[in-house]
Amino acid sequence: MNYSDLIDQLAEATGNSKVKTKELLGDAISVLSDQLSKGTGVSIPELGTFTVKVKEVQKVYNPHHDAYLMVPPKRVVEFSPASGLKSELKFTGREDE
Amino acid sequence: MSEKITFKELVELIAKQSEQSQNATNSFIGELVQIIESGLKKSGSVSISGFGKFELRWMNEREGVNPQTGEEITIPGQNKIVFKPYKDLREQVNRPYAKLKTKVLDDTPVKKQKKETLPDDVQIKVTEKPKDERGTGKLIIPVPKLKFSPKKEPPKEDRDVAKDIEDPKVDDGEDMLIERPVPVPVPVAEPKESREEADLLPEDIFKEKRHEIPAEPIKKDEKKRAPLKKKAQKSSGMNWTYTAAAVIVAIAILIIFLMMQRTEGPAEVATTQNEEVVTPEPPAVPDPEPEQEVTVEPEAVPQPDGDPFPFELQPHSVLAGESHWTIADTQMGDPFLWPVIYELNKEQYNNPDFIRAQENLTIPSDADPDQLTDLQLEQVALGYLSVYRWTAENRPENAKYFLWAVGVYSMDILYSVENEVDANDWEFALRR
Repeated sequence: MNYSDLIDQLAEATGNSKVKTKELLGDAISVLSDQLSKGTGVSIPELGTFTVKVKEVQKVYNPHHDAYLMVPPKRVVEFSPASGLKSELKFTGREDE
Repeated sequence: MSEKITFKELVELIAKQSEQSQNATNSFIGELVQIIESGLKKSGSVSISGFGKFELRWMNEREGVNPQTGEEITIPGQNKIVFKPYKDLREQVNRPYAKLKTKVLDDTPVKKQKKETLPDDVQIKVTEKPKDERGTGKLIIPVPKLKFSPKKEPPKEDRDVAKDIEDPKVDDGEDMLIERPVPVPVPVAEPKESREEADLLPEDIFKEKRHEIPAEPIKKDEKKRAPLKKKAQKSSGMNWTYTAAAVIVAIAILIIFLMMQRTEGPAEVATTQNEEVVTPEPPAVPDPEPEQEVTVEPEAVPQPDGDPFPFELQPHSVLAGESHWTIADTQMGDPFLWPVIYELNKEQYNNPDFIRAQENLTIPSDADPDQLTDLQLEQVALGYLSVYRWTAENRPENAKYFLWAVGVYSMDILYSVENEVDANDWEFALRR
């Protein structure tokens, strides 16, 4: 499902116009990203938790250039799904198995 | 980094941003979550522009072990929900570290560095100049020995030398003027001497110490300054003859290097020595006294407490996005000096990992990272020591790296805390 599908459905579900929905979603996303960029974790019920984790320096080997690289530490977003969502989707698309 | 805000707070923030009621926002997010879920169910992926993409990824059945019982089990295939942040979000979140670049490393130094990895920030720089290091490295290898051993093991010869250089005046003074307290000159003479030697090579010592120093010289370091060749040979037998030869070569190179240094820029040493040679001549008692104090004060006391702070200070208001690391980099020219800033301001915030924007810090302004004086080096070491103490309490598994770093800047300070620190950390700190 791409972004416009999402907006379509969301507009339908909330009864707002698509433009309005887009704005609202944009606001929500910007608040979320703000929090995350401050390093603050955010949890959304029934969806999951977004946390920010610092990855330590890593040494990696690039076989193509035969060189060792030192990858600097970085902050990454991690998402861990809520357990309800997880079990709900556990076998989605694989019901036959 | 571990803070979290509750969902309620999040809703409040979003409501404020979008000028909607909290109820409306709440139900909006509820709808959003449901649509994400149904979207995942139907198509297996949901993309939110500017944020990221949720995806289902099928994990095949695999073998696993129950961590509690150690029993082998088969984990059935199942979907995993993956969130892939888009570039905007990734960059925004990573902004504090955005300046750090991936470095290509030489093959050989890497293996060593791996062993002695410093924590995050400390490490990158270590690897930054692997090449310079290789060029100069060999020359400088024995330097730490020169520098540290006299401090560690100052007794006989050192003190004698010290007396040759310094004490004439002091002795004169004592003879002539009995009121002068005896203890004064002794502590003066000692550190001064060791310092003078060290002064020869502040730059190189500093450079070299930043990188790891091969294990060899350190061991000798521990064995003190005694005749090196003999020691190496005696204690180790035939297999070590090669090592001994290498050491001899290294010493030869060092000596040449020292001589060059001496001819080039021994200005400081020369002047101090001259002063000392000259001062004993005038017998007038009151004169030498102030002079002596002048020469002694800045250099003598190894402890920082009674000392004037070795850096010039300036106030600094923290900007958003700054860290100790970046401040040290921009203001002092070397990010590795950040513990000095922490040491200066630790009363304000206990945690060295966090500083708040708008916070007013006192920071050094005049550091020349390639020309740090001994006192400045010690100050850096003390900073690392504070960081070590904090880390030992809060994240003991990482603490040893900071202790190691203390030794990089001052072995004296490292040795002075031998009894307070964790034995394992201590052992690690001596490895280099």
